[in-house]
Amino acid sequence: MGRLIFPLLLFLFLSPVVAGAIDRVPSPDFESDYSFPGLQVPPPVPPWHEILDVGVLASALALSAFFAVKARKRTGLAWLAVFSVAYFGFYRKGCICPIGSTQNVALAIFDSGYVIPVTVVLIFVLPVVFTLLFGRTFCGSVCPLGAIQELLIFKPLKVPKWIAAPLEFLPVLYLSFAVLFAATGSNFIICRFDPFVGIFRFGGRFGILLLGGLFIVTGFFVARPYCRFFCPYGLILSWVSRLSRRHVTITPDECIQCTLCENACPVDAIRKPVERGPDSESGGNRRRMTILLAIAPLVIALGGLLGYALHNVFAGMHPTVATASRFALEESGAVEDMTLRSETFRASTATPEELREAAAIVVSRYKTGSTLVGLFVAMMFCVRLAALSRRAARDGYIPDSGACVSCGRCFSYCPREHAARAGAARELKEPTG
Amino acid sequence: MNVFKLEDKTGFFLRTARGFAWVSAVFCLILSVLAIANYVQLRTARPLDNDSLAVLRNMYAQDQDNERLKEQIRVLDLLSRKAYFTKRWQLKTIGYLLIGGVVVLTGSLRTIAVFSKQLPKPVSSTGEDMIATRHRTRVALSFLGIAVAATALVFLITSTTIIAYDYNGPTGVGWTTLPAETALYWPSFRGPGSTGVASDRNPPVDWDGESGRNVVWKTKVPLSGLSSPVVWDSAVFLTGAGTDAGGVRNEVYRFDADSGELVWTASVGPFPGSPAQLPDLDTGAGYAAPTAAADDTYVCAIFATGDLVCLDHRGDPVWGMNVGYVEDLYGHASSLLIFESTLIVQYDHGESAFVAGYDLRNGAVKWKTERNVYDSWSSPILARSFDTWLLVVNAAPFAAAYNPATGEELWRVEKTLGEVASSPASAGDRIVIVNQLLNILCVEAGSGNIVWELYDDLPDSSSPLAYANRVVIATAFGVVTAVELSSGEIVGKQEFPDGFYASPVLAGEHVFITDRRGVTRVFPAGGAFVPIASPSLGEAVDATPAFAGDRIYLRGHENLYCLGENG
Repeated sequence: MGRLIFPLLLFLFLSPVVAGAIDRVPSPDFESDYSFPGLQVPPPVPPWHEILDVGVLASALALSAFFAVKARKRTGLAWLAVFSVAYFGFYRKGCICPIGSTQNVALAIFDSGYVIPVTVVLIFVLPVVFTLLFGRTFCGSVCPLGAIQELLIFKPLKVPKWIAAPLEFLPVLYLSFAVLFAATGSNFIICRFDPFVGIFRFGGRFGILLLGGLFIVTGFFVARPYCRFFCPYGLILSWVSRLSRRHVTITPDECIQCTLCENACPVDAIRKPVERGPDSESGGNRRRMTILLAIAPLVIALGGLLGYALHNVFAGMHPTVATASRFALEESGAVEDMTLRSETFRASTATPEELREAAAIVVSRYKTGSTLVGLFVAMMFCVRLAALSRRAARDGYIPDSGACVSCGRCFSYCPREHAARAGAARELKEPTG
Repeated sequence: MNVFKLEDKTGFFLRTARGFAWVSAVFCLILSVLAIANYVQLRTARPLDNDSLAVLRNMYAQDQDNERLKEQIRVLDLLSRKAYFTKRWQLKTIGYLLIGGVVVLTGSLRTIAVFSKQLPKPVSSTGEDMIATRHRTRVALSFLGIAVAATALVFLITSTTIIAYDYNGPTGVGWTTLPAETALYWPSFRGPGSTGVASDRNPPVDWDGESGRNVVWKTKVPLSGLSSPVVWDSAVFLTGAGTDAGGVRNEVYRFDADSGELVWTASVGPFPGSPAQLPDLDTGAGYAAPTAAADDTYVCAIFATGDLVCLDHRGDPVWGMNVGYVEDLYGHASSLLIFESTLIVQYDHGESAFVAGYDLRNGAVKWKTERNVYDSWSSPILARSFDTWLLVVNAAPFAAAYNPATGEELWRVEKTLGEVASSPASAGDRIVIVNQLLNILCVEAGSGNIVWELYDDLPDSSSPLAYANRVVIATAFGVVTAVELSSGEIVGKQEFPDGFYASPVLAGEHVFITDRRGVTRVFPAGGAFVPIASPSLGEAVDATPAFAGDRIYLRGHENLYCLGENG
């Protein structure tokens, strides 16, 4: 095996040369000092490189699970985060990532004409599988967006719950619209509005760079703002993590409720011990739950209705509908200038009737999609409200299985952890037998 | 000997890291401000739209031999482009420096975090805090839900850019176009949709009726009338009427479009309800003022007696009726219009004024909308508003738009006055409505909201022509005005010795307006509003010409002419 390492490394470092050789058409050789503009998207990679990416992802996930759940090594997780930023972020330029692959999967499900590559499916599924087994080990130190935020945390401030809860609802909206627009072939908004892609690629649209800068500055003082308040893939993983078989724990064995870890978590994912509340509180919770259950169908129905009513607005995200709308406005004289889109259409061989028909098909799909979005968002709203009326008893400090990103910062706060390490160190120094 | 003790070493790293953090933070802040300012300048700087350059270019256009001016333009252009690309380079450099600054800042902050880490302290919390916190959280979440719903409603109300495409189109007319043949021929008064626009034709711009130059044929029309010719394929349809001892004679004619031969004459009526005698209308609109309407199967006509008839192209009657004769001052003059399989009739007379849609195949009433208007002699037109057709009808005291499939009133503008004989005009999303006593109105097709209003040189019976960004209005006292459609600004005016009853028509690249003496003033469709030709028919004309292919069919008081290049 050792004999293979050198050739393997050589092959790895020569891969750009191999990839470059695929470009058989040479660029024009200008006599002036003209330089080609940089690519706005990463250049295509050979198929074996995509398989390598999947392999690296799987390995990183395994390592993260090992460090978080088994070895409980914060240092390992931190260095893994550095590697993820370097490999998945700067080297692979943030694409393709599991967060964006959500859209590819949505498009593949709803558009039979789209063939999703197996590697993309694996990139989407692998973190979900690991989350099901070990909790959100992907978020902690493998996701490049999470990792870069992890490395930026300086003095995390505690966000009050009443501010955090509404913000934590934003991923529901983001996921809904991302799936809607991807499934209808309109846009991949997760990729379009990725705040860190400009940093990974050392360039990009000014707005995105500004957004990335804002997230960086915010990230110094509010830990992982994108993960907590925007990430749509994190929302999916949070649901799956609640079903996980094993999960990061603060203490390696039993919790002695020393309260030392209460403020340890930068994303406020530690749940305190809760005693059974007074009867008055339980009664209040029951009343609230009853009312909520009674009005939930109405709220959900209203959400669906609103979603349906907005289908025309959402459909405007689709380029065909946008072109048809613009063309109609120009033809009716409501606007005078042409856009690049309408100009391109006019120069094409397609007729206005064909454009109208294509747009009508898209709009009809949006009727269903928008209604489902409205129903889903309203349902999630009711679920979140219902969760606030539950008071589950807990007899120790445990990480919230949905919110905990398995970063391992809480390990060093636990005296039981220190005791376990000291005991392990003594065993190493004084072997038995 | 250690120079530093452990505590001193920690303090040294901490102080150094803090210093680096402050410096790099200020550095990043300054660079960020510079980057934003540079970006804003870059967005607004357009080397190709430089105002000074534009001025110089205009000057150069008028003095192209001026070498000094040429050199000035080159220098200014080069400077402008250099400034633009320099700004781009600056922005790029700032970006790289910013990345470096952020890296230093991040490293410093991490170092501070590591060296200033303190031991955790025990914390206590009470159950009451939890209850209050949950309550606040519920309230905040509820507010978020309301905010999201409110934002969605705002989007719903204010969104105007999306066209609704009902794939199965349950209501409304839907996105419809006139059948291709309808657009090809001249199926009604003022052509397809009765708008007076036929830009795909290629008619001659010069002829002489007396000498016969470019007159393909000339045929006497048996009975007189003010109705205009209607053309479908090789048929030219016309109506005529007169009185004799037996009362009123109403007739429909078919002429051969190529030879001018009178193919057949169809007598119409009288139908039950038709008056035995009519007042003398020779000084008014006459007995056959409304223009017929035709499609590929039928030709329909209506007369001053109220007799409405539908014939096939062989002249055989399909159905006929009297729509209810009402005596009026000048005689019925509103022309017919065909929309899909519906025959539209505007009958604004007396207290039973209405607009109705009849089934072309059998005359059954599809819809009928009562109108509380004074007598009017204008004709309905078809207009477009985004994805729907409108039937626009002019009268006093209001003009209105209806759904041509159902007769449902969509909007009305109550600002018309007097004896209305001019039909509306339509172009883009604008409709032009005129009346002799009050104004020329331009309204939005979708809503009827008034865009602009003019008060001078109002037409008597000629209808305005609207196309692209121009409106052309011809008056009975010889003034022809061109107005910019978007603004209502007058862009041209010509005065002629004879007045106009016929309506202007855009055919090909010219506007044709025939005065009462039979002289047609030909204007270019765009550019300076100056006539380029004035061919004469040699006979009085009140009807509006029909344009089909490269021919013009023009009805004089006595004869029907076919004008075209005849070598």
